Amino acid sequence: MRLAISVVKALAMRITRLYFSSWKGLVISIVSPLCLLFFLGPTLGVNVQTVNVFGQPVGYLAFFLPGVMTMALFYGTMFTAGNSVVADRVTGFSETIRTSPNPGIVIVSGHVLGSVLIGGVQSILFLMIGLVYSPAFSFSLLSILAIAFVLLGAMFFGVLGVFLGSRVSFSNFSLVFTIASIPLVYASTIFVPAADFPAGLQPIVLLNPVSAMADLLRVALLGVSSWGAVPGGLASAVAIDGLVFAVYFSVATFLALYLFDKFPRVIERQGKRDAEKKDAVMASPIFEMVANAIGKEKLQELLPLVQQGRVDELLKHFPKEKVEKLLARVKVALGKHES
Amino acid sequence: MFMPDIISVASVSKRFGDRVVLKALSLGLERGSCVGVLGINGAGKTTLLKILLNLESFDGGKFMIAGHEFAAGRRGGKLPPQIACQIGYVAQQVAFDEEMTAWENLKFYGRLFHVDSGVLNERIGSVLSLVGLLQAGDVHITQLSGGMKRRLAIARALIPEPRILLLDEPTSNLDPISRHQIWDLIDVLKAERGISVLLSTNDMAEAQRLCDVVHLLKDGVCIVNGNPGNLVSSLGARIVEMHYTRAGMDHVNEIKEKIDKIAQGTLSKVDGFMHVRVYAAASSNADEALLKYAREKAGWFESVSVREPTLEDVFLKVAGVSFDRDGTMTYRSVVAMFERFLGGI
Repeated sequence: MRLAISVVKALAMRITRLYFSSWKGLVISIVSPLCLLFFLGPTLGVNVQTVNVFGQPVGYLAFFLPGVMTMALFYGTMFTAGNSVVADRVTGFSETIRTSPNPGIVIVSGHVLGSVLIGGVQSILFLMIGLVYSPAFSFSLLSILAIAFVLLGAMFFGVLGVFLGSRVSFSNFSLVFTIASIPLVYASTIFVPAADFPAGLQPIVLLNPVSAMADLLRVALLGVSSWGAVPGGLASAVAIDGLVFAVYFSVATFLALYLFDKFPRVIERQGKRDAEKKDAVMASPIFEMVANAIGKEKLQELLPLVQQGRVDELLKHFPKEKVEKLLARVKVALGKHES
Repeated sequence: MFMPDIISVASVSKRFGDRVVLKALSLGLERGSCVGVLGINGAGKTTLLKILLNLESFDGGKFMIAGHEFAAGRRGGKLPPQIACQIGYVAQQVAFDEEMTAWENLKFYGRLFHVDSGVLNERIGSVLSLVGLLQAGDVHITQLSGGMKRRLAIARALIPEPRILLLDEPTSNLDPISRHQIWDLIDVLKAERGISVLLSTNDMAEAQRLCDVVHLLKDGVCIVNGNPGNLVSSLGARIVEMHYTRAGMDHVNEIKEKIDKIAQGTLSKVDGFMHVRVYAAASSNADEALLKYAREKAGWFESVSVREPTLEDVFLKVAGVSFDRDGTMTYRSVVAMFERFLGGI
């Protein structure tokens, strides 16, 4: 157990270190919510000064800040966890990790913890800005429980990221992530309360894990909840959101571990594709391979002269510019072959 | 003295779809020895190493590694922890965290492989010293050369103090000095640490230099195996390399007929695009006769040389292929050739 914790910690620290050493990822992940907080929030707040969360009026900016924190946690954890899995696979680092004496759950936990730390740091940063910007927050004992569930939610998003990262190729990851994240963000209570959605959509919005996270943060910071109408008040609301996360987290963890276990098969499929590419190379003599790029006749004339270094002879048939053009075409063919 | 095999592969087969990658391959690795798996790209070398690491499943046969047996049909997954710590793996594609220093990379790896934190720093210093990179410990990976990265990869694999090293083309694309540094390092690991090495390579000189036993693979099948020195001796031939000129290219068929006539029944040959490699029986004087012929037709030959055979000659003869006819000369080598040419204009 001690060893497992040590490995999880090492993996998590590696991911956070890699993330924070890349200024691009850091800037993008901070700038986007900051724009929302400083541009969209006040702009909407001009027209919607207060929102009604199940009968309780809340200032829009105060309402919006937990939404922005949710976005930071959601994107920070899910994208970072997924991206770290995909990046390790592309660089070959995943082989190093997979040959280590650690079960899949330890490796997945390391990825998830690292991503939660990253999302958590960003989220706390926004909270600090928000406290200066709109200090009308109230904390209670229930806030602690709500924040504990927020962490569970963040872990869920991390596991979801690992799930996506295990299934999707590097080239498709951003696209799939965007497709997966857009409905989660926009059919949530990040921007508006659940009660403002059409009645038919409200159950979807309320059961959306992103809404659950925003709701828990609002309970923790504002003492209001989208579930405020349920018997038992805020405590029941926190319990419902916690239950939502517990269900999602369990399913996602099962899927992520199952797929991580299947990971060798993903590698095998990659191996099969590589083998097919190699087949294409191996089956073709050198003439046929390069002839596709520059033409068989030209190649047959050119290669012997190049091999023998017979510059004068070659230049009689092929001026330097022409040889350079041929080389460029071979390089293009090389790129296609290796892609 | 009989030394039990630390790796024993028995009739292992593997296919990707319709393509057979390994066909009933068997080999053994004795403790403290180096066994080479040789072949051109796509021969199944890397696949074998990945099967041994449980990174890929296999379809037939079984293998034993560090006392643990694995049979076909296993779903892949991970090696048991006690086995994983006994195997050091250096992949063909060396992957490090570029934002970290060499030392930090090794430290992470040590923790990943459960090396006690009390001895980890000392262990890192020791392996860095062994590979000649102690001074580079604080250097970021981006500042290391290709050869240094390969040595660092070997150092990393040594952190858990493995008994077995699986090396996948450890010197490919390296300059001659770096290659020799790595070869010397592997010698030291065998001799001083008693590490058993399974080496995948397509570099025949490397295999001849390092391996106690080699297995030459072609299309997933072992076509010949044995001690490199014995395999070379068993050829019983001297090699005559004859490179054609442009004029000679116009008379290739005539040249080949003449070669066959000169040395009928005493030699074999492997045709290349620009040259012919003749295996002249050592007991005959066919090599002298060929040299005489080349002098007579001086305008047809760029160069002619007689030399002792190498492992590469064994491979070419046994595989029945010529390197520049079977696709080993890839786009990349063509590009390199063109670039050299353009640089010379």
